[in-house]
Amino acid sequence: MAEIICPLCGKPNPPELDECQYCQAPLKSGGFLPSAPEDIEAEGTSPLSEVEDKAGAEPSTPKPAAYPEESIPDWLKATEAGFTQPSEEEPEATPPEDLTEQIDSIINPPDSTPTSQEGAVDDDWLDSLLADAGAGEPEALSNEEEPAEKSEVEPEPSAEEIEQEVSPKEEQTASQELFDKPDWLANLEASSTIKLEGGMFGAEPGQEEIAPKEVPEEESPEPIDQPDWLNKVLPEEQPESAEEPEEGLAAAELPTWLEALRPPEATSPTGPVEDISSAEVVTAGPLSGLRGVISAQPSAIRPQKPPTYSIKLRVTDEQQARMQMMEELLADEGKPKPLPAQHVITSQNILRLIIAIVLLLPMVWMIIGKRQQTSMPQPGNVPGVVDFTQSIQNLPPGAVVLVAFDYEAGFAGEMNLAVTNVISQLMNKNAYLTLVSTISSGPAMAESVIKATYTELGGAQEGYVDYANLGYIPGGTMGLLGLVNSPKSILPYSLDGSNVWAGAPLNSITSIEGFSAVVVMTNDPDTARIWIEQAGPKLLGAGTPLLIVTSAQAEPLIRPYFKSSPAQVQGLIAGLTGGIAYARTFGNTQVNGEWDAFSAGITISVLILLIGSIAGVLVKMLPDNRKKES
Amino acid sequence: MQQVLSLLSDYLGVLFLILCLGLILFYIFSGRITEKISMRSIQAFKHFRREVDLAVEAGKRLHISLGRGSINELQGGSAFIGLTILDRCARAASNSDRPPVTTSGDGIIMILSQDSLQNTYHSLATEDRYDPTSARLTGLTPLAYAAGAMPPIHDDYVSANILAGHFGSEVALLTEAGERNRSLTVGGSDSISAQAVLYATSDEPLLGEELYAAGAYLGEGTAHTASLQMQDIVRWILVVSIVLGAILKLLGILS
Amino acid sequence: MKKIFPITNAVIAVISGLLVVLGYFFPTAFGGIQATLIGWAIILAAFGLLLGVFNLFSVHWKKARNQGTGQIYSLVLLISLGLTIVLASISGPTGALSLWLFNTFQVPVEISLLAVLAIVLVYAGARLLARRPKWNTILFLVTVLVVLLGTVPLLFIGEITPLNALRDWITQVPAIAGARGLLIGVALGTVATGLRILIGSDRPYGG
Repeated sequence: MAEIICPLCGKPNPPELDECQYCQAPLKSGGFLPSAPEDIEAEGTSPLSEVEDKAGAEPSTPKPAAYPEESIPDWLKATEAGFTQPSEEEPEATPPEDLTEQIDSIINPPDSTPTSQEGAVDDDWLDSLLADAGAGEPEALSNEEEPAEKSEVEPEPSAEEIEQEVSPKEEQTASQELFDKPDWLANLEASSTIKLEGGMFGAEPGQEEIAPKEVPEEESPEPIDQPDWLNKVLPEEQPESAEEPEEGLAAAELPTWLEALRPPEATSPTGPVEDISSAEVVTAGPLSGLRGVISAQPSAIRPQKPPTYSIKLRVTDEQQARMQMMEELLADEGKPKPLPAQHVITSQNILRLIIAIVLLLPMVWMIIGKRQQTSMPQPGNVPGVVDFTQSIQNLPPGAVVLVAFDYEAGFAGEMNLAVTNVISQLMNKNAYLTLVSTISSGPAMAESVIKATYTELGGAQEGYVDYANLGYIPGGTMGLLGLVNSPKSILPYSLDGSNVWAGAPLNSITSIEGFSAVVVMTNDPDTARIWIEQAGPKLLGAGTPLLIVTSAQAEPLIRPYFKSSPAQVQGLIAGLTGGIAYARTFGNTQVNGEWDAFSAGITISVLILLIGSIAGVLVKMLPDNRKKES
Repeated sequence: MQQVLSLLSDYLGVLFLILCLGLILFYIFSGRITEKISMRSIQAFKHFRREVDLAVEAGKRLHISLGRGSINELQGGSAFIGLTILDRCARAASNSDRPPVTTSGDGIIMILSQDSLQNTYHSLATEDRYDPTSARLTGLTPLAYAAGAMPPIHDDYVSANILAGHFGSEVALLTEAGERNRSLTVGGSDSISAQAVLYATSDEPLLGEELYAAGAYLGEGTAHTASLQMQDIVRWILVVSIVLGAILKLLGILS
Repeated sequence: MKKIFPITNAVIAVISGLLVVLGYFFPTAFGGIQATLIGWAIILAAFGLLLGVFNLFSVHWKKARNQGTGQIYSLVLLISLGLTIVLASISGPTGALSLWLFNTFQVPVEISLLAVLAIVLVYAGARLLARRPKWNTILFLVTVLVVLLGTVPLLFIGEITPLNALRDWITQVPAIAGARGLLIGVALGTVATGLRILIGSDRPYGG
């Protein structure tokens, strides 16, 4: 027994089954019904041929449709009657005239002149449809059928003529037929077919053969009465109409480019994949009489299990490899990369250690050994030292000197030599030292230096008494400006709480120019400049010397003030060099290895700089490093 | 002539200030400021923006050091620039997991930096992110300040160090700590010795008055751009004056 | 209220700054008010110092309480701060105990830091050319070497007189010239910063 082709998936099924064993689509109930076996073998069967096959196919028993007769208009009843006439009775019978008239009346309004006279259409699928409509009429509608009126026979000879013309105009006719069909018919045809092969667009080579194959199949059905409206739709099939344009319409000769745009169903219509000749005829609704469509009857659609399709992708090996690579990349993104552990001992740390050892060891050795091989600086060769010494020497005994301790504790190693010598000279002069400071650690530094210096001088145990430590001046430059204008108001008391301005010798001093000298000890060039700029003009006007003790780093910036004309700074001692030179002015030459250690440190530093620079350049010029940089 | 010169020398400062102020106001209110002025590219400020973005992305923080200059002194100008940079960096890095940390060597600058951070977070409606201890006074003496600023560089996941303010040669300790921590160091100071040290030790130094152009380069406002233009004009005036004065002195016209 | 504070702050700052500046140039008219304002500023600066110490305490208190790196150092700092306050309060700022603390701890530690600074600078100078291979870096290094060689007599070599003269010339002519130029630029920047604050466009004081 012939297998039933599933209308949904197209797979063959045993005839005894009601549902497809693959996709569970109904095989025998309405809607999509399997086609005849001989139609399966035919490749690319056209819808026309399939529709024709319906005429020869075993008619299915249409199920009665229970429609309330009152709801159906008469014209539709007539239409239905025409479509639902059983094909068994008159398989080759001409469609009833009333049917064609009804269809004609539907499609062509009364005022439109039918042009069906122009020629019948070799519309095979429609012929078969009409034949089937007469063969497969439902029983329910059979009572509603009205005697079909025979359509005019005029289309018959035109159908014969058209059949004759089909062979020479195979593709054009087929395409034109399909193109000229009403949209709803074309859509119905398209929806009722399932393609077995070929794309949806573009005519495939095989499809071009469909039309020729249709020719022999088209010969099998007997000509039927073509309705007038159908003849009107296909005027080009009549040889006269091809040349005579219709009213307002040009001949439907499509340009090649437009034909190329046609979907393949239009150009070379393929037959429905499935054979719907045995499909149930719709007995109710506007689609009544048609096969292979979903009936409007509620029972036509069975709820069924949706077909399961394989979701397995076809993945090539290359795609698989790329997919794995992507997965690995994405997986790495989520993984926190462990930070490389920073080694405590790196090459840089080792280098620093080596430099420190190379620099410090010789210096320590020289200090421990108290070497004195390097020539000491001469006071005359160090600018500012001689003038500083003269300024101190010119002070009268018991002079009131303002001493500003503005150098940080860290620079004590460099500056203490000069500072202690200056303080010692002032103490030798019995000068009254007024100690101030614009930095927070200054008062402590001042106190410490005074005590240490006096102790070195072999002073009394109670310490030096001719001094007043006025403490810290807050406000930086503003405080200094206030001190310059009115020191008493800025620093009214000393650190021990006594009012030093009340008694001698400070009671005679009202402003900064009242002091005999101002000695500023600072390591910061900005502090020195502030003193010079704030206090310098007043001191210069009063002839009070401004003497500065500074570090080597500030000396280049302070020396222009010393060398200016008039000199804003009357004496300058800078760094260890100035301190040693100053100490030599009054014969205080200390042999403690400091100068030799300083010299050694400078020499080794120069060597390290030279070697390090050359080595760095050479390492950079290595090919490996060049490649890395490039 | 002498009287004129005397009068001029007495009020030269006022005239100078009036000139500067006039130029700033002119450029602020004139239409020329709306035109994009061409500013030469300064690599350090490019690093500013990049490092802020990197710090936000990497979940690290910025360390901004304002130096030890007090606003009572001449070095206060650089401290204010540091506060401007702090404001910009705090705004840009406000959504970072780790907000910026500020160190300074002066009490008033520390208070101002706290205030600046608080205002920044307040304006961004993220006041809950403000931490008063993110602005720290690390020491009252230069070396104590440097020693106190080194641990935040080492310990607090700092990705970049921005040193803007008054420093001395002790800034080398900060740059060294940054290099050990493998963090970028960008710095500028008004001190000559600090600039020399920064040139040798930092990744991107700001020399001379490049530090004072920070506001204009970081888009702080029209006033900063206007003051930058004022500086350019006045600089040329000073150059011409110095050269003219040297020529006149050489010719013996000026005594 | 929140809107009034910023405006008030700006008004106070602008007026105070203008009065101080005018006091410099017109001392007869504005000298008195200038001195008063400067006096207030000095008091505020001193109070700022105290606030800084308090901030130092609070930061390290927080670090000492939270377990983490540097906790022990914060503890040491807090203990040292407390001891210093106590001892200085007992003996006075220039008393024996205070000076002992100063001479035993602060001076040696700061001198050591400066020594470390010297080593850091030498190390940085040795790597400078490799780090920044430019012509101005070479000029920088050559200048450093000339100044160092001209500062003191070299060990086993002695004094190189031409280098002394060259060093003097470098430090007094091109170096000072460059420094003066930088300082002029810095001064201009400072003036611009001050003027921006005076006109109220820059408000580092908040608001």
